[in-house]
Amino acid sequence: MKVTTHKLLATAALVLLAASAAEAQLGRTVDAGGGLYLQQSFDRALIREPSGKASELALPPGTTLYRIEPLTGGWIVAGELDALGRSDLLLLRGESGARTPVPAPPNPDEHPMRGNPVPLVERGELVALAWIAGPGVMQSAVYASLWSGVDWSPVELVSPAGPGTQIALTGAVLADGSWLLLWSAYDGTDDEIVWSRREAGAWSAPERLHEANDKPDIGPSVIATGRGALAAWSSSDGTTYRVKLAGFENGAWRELEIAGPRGSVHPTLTHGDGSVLMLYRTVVPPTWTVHELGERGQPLRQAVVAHESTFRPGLALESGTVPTLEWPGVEVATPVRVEAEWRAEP
Amino acid sequence: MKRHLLLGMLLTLAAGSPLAAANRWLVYGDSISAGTSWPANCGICPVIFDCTGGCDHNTQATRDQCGHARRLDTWLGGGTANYVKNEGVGGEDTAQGLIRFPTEMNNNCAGSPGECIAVLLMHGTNDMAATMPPVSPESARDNLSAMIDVAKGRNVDVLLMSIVRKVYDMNNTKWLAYRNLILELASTKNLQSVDPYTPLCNDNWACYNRNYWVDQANSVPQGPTDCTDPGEGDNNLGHLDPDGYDVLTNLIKAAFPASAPASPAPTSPMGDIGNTTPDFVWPDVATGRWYELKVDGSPSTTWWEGAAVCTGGICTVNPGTTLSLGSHTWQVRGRNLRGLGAWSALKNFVIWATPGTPVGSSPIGTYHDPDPPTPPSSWEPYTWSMPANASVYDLTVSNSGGPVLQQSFTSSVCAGSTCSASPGVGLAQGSYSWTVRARNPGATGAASAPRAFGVVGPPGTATPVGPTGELFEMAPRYEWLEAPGATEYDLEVKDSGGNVDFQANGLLASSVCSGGGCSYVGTVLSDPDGYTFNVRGRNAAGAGPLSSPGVDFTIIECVDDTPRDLHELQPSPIVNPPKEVVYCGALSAPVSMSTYTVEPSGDLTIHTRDGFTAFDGFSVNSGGKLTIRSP
Repeated sequence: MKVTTHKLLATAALVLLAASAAEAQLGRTVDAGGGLYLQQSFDRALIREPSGKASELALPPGTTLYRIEPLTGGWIVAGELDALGRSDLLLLRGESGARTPVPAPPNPDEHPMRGNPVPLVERGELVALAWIAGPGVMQSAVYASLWSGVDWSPVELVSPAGPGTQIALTGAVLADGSWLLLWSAYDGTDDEIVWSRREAGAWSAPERLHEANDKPDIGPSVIATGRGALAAWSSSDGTTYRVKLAGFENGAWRELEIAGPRGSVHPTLTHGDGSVLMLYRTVVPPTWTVHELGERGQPLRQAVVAHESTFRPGLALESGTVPTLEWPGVEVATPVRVEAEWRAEP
Repeated sequence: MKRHLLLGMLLTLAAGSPLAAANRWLVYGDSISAGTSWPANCGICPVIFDCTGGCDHNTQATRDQCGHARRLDTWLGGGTANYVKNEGVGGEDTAQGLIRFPTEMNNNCAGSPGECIAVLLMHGTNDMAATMPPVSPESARDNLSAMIDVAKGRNVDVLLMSIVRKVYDMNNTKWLAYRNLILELASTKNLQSVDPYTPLCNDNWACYNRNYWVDQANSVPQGPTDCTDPGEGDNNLGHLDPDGYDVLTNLIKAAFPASAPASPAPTSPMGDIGNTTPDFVWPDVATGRWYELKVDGSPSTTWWEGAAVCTGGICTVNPGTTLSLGSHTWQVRGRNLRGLGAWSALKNFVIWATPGTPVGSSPIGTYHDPDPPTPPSSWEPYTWSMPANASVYDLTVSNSGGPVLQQSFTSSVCAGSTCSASPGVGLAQGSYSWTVRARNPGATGAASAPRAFGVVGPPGTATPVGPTGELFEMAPRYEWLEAPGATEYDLEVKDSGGNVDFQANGLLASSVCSGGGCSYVGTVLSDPDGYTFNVRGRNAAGAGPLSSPGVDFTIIECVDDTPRDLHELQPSPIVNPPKEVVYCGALSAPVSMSTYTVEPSGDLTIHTRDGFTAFDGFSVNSGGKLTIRSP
């Protein structure tokens, strides 16, 4: 694979990439962490694996991929497929070069819109799927179903339809074996980050993760840690957004002091080399920032890359330590890689 | 010569720059606004399928030549007078758009040069398309709302555009959720809106017309400078091709009024006023969406949205700026999506200082007037302190029923620090209060604190009630009803010859009157005779009228006051009795009526001093007169 690499220092005097490389790539990046991510472009996706192997995945027209998760010996991608009059779930398992469709969970209520699937993977095996479904975007509910390896259990209702949209579902399997889901739910005033946990076979009633407010809280990302979980999301104050981070321990959330600056948005959390990596975009000036966090969310290092792209890059730790952001190049097969340097957290 | 050449060059440079004093419209949004697209086989190369003058989309000049921005710029005349600037950024969702928006407003709408007319806001497609984490329709709406507030806070109008549909959202379910909230927001924010749904439709795929979209999946550009139109097709992310931009641009054009608003006709302030922070009022003009004031030649630093300041066709704005006293001018002009209207004609006004508040000094208290309401009134003139900035004084005298006298005086009634004016109008008896208010041609001050006073005239007519009839007492008790307002009374008794036989003046009402009635025992009259009693009231204002008519009474002489039996006095039969028998003594019970006869028939009158119980044939009048009727 032909690779174009830029090395940037994360200094205050950030240098924008050349104009020809700006404006980013088409589509969306879905990052599982650990060097496994996909970049979707129309009806195909490029899957990059930790080994550096890249493979192309052909998709049915109308597909939007939401997640890729590593499985033992492969991966599973989950997305939604728009078809005439409806949207439905799309699951595809990759293993040893073969791609096998996984049947969608049952749809007992025959919801015309199902999407935003979140595979829950435990010890390298798919154990459940959560998704959002309903008669329409603004009448949506959260559901889940357990995967036996052969078929799906009866559908479980995690969160009934509320006063508005439920969207941006994400989730993780925690170290204690419980399952944690986070999503953004409209409470009648604004979107809030809410969560539910499945323990002993039952989902807890959805609760707000943060203090109540009347401004949007959107786009959560969650990751399991040894002690519980970390969650990051974008929180608006009515004039701008900033990234917030919270830790989940002993069944309760605690908002952490570390957060992105004003103008930071759309964080993702992935596993790094024994740590957690938080990647987010700062809009003005346009930069991408990686924070390396301890398992309790404590800031360890950060790297900042000036780049105009509005599209999320893939994130890998080159040689296990160097944070590398990757956007597709002028030719898809020729990615633009930007290596950043860690700096101590201020 | 060199200086002129340099100046000319500078002017030329300024005129050649699209930023020079140009009215500006910002096309703000994502790739649809930017006019870019990304073919499937092209990773990082945004290809501008719809641009003139090059494909390098990373320069402002090229961005401005893309999509509906370029078309509108051409339509509006472009160049130095009007400049449609493209601030679209591909891939952006409303959250990122909200973060970026204040910076773009600072860069483009921070005042000079030129005027920022409107933002053509079209955002939310990537919220729906989940380019980043999907953003809900509600949050997209909230983010757009915040952007609109920023624009309005900078006096910039917003044309809110709903988003184009998501390809493969075949039943438009997702798209409609976003689109409907955006259009609701436009209504809530009183914005003009553009909804490209129907015009970009045909009957395929639940409203999708392939003629208007690029076929990105099948295009194979040769790099970022390949401007080849990849052709029309179905496989795309909802990016418009040149035909699609023509449709979208025509929709935007339709939202634009045919012209900038007409020049308004200022209403007020005009002439003389007294308010240093006046309201500025003018009739709303057709298609005017925003208004700007210019006071004394200086444009206001803000624009006012017509929807917020105009009601019932009348616009009212108070800039809150304190103007100096003296002469001023003002103008107003409107603005709509098409641009700035012409300034109105100048309106002149003069601000006067508000006069101070006078302090009234007199009249105050009670005044006695011998002949109210005939002027001149004894309590005039009205006097008050002279406040600053006054040229006219408005005097108001009121009673409980409201104003009874309103009269204005010029400052000629003032001398030194005091003003003194006599209206020359008499007031009837009663209680009054008065105030005076200073004014000048532009302003009216506060009224003085009310001063109370009363007008008291001579008392009314007293009414004599006794004595009447016949009586023996030579010093009778005179009785009369009180006269309103009287503090003293004068009594007068005349005999049958018209001569004053008794007179008492200056009887204090407090001594002789009680409960509305008055009485007084006079001195002995001269003779048994007929008399007439009259009385008049008096107070500090003078004497009231003498009662008219008086009461008449007759003093009868008592010739026998020995107590005796009536029968003894007049044994029966009473023969040839005198017509009148006067008896002044006590009279014991009479004998039977039957023992009395009167011969010949006729009246017999017996006068007694004491009361006598009436019985058949007898009656006793109130004066103690016993009348024995003849059988």
